[in-house]
Amino acid sequence: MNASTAQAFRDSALRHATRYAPWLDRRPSRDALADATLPEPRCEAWRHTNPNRWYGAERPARRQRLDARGPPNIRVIPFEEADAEDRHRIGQHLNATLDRARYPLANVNDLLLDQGVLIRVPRAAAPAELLLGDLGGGYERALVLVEPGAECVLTERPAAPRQRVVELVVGAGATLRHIRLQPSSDAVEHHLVSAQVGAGATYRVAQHGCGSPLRRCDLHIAASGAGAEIAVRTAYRLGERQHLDTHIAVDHAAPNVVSRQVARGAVGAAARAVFDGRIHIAPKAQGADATLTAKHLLLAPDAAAYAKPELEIYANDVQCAHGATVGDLDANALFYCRSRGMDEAAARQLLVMAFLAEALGDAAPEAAQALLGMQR
Amino acid sequence: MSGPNAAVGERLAQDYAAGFVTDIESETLPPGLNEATVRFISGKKSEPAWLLAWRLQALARWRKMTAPQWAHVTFPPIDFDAISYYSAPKQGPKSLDEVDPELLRTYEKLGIPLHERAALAGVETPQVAVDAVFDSVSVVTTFKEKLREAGVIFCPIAEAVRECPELVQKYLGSVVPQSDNFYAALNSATFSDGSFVYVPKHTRCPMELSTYFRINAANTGQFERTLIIADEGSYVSYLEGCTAPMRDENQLHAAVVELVALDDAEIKYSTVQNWYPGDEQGRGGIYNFVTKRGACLGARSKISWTQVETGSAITWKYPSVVLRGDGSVGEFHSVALTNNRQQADTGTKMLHIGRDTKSTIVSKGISAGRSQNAYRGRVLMNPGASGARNYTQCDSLLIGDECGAHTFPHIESRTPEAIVEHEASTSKVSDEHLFLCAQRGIDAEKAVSMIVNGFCKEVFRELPMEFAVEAGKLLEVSLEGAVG
Repeated sequence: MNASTAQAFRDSALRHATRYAPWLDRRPSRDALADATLPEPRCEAWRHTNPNRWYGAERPARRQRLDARGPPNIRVIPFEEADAEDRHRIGQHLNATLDRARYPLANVNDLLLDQGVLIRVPRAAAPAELLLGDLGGGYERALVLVEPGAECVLTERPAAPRQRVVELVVGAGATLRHIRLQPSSDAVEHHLVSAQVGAGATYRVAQHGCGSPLRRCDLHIAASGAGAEIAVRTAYRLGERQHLDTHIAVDHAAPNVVSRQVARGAVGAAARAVFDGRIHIAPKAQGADATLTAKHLLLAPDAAAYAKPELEIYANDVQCAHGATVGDLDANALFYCRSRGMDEAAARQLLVMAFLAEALGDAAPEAAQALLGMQR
Repeated sequence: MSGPNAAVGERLAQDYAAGFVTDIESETLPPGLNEATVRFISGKKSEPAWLLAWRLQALARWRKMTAPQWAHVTFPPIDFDAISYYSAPKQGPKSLDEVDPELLRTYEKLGIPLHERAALAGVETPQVAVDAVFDSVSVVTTFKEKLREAGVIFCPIAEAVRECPELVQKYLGSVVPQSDNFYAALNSATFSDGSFVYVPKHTRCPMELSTYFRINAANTGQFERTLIIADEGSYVSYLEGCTAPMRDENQLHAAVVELVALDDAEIKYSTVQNWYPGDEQGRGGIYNFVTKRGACLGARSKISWTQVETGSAITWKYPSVVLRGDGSVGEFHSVALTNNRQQADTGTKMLHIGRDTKSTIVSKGISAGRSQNAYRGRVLMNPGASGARNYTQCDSLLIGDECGAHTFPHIESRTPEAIVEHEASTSKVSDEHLFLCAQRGIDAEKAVSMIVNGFCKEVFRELPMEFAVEAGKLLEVSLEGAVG
């Protein structure tokens, strides 16, 4: 399938629906896709990324791989192996967290699905550690159900999929630490993480890595339960002609939700970083406490950064703030390093590392540091 | 009426101080927009052929355009064929004495100090020249002679087309092109009047220039076109104040303001906008869809926009600066207050093209009642804008739990040699501050008014003195009923 406009892509997706997991009810997605307006070039949500490049990209050959692992008490079930009970569960939760109007591209995932997995994390004595690697490289789907009170660390290492949709349901009082590591690739990719966070639950997501010729990442986190805690951290380092477009939307849909978003991007060569971070406070979501900072470094004359931090607030008992900066390395800091005998390259590397470290937080995974070239 | 009823009556009467309709004969074109409408307006102004052709070109472009949908506002579609595009007072006054006394009384109610000058003759005070726009025709222009002495041209744009056509032809549409946006195209085709200012080289305009816009006849859009040119090394401060009488139907106002600053010139443009915002249920009110843009063409030129927006049912307005000249400076200081069911989507654009260009944006939004108030901004650093800097601060204050405050800034940087900084915050009026005021015996309404005034201080400081006082009062009146 190779179509280079929204219309052609949609028509093609409707015609070429996959036979994978034929028991999946694809009608809602098919109907939604038929009615949806897929992103057009220059539309607000894709202002700096041309969606036609994604529509027109070659679909990678399907790899017969499924790299999803967890401890014995956690079941990782490929959709094709799901029994009646799991099928019921998938039917119940699949697409339930998706905002189809805002992410119309998600509708094609069901129709063109190559590989899907269901992961259930029950409440246990020790936090579970899960790995979600390559799921086949085409249209991938993961549905992760973190049951109330459960604790889990989910590490994702996607292997350049065409589209990966990860749906997360974080039950009341549960804790999910979600790490997404994205190395450089040559693929044109679309990622969508859609999380629903229950009352008193904690969801911390860290997405770190590099770019590709076109990589679009949508993260939509809806705090649907009172007192939920959300933290989003992202650090990226782009080079060559890479293009990374990150859209994060945090919806405060219940009272007393706390959310934090931190983004740091170092953009070199002729790369382009697009960042859109949104905080939405619903009318009844009083007591909201939300912050966002997005900083970008432009390290080469042809590098570019587009940042759009957004606040949309319909309640009054709120504390919300955002900040954004774009600029080069601080000349004074560079001079300080040089005056201590460091050469220019080492000084710049040190300052870039310090800059990116702000988004890694205390528990910076070593793998993330390696991806970001942060070893000295 | 006595007791509580009297108090209620008094309160109702003060809701919108500028809400009155002047009953004078006016010549109005029947509703509808086509080539004949444009030819009629052009003919009324005895315009040269080039301007008519320009208008017709704009009309053709407008017909191919669609109304923008991206703003964070909702309103029923406008029927552009139901609007009358021209309304002029019938008498053509030659001097102040000939002006319809009713018209003068209107201005008196608005507080335009036309007579004040004579009374103050001989007293050294800062002088303000007023070009009063009543519906679509400039009626009286004072101080023209004094300005002429300094070489400053300040006149209705129609007159400028006759008197200095080469300037108008050179700069009209140079900052806001005809097809810039839907409403700018509409304005280009139908503009009926507005002000023209030219400040010659190395001249400091001897007084603050002031225009009052006022929409009067029902169903007539006010399509003003303002063009201000500050030649090399000159300085001008321009004040624009707006009030409109109370009407039930929505009135469309689609003005275009173009500013041009050449080398080392400075333009300071201040606005206090208090058009009828509609009633508490959101009935009536002005649709204020305005395109304001300045071009810092010359090196080291400066354009600064200061606005206090309290009126209009819907505001859609982004006074912007194109920083083309090296070392040029753009500023935007804004207070936007919305109450009841008002909607405002306002902000600015700073487009950095030249080297070492600087811009500052300070935006204060206050939402009360069930209103929606959005800041929308764009800061662009072009590849050539080395050494450029921008600082943006937008703060929102929420009063009441049914209103909304939104911030949509776009930051686009294409050079590592530029620095962009943006920060925004949103919160409600702090309970601690209110408690402190209550402790000191200050009632809630006064306390909120004080806190709001403090919140806006940074912007008020930028206003000319006459406006700063008015702006403070305006906020107080506009916030009435929002507390408690």
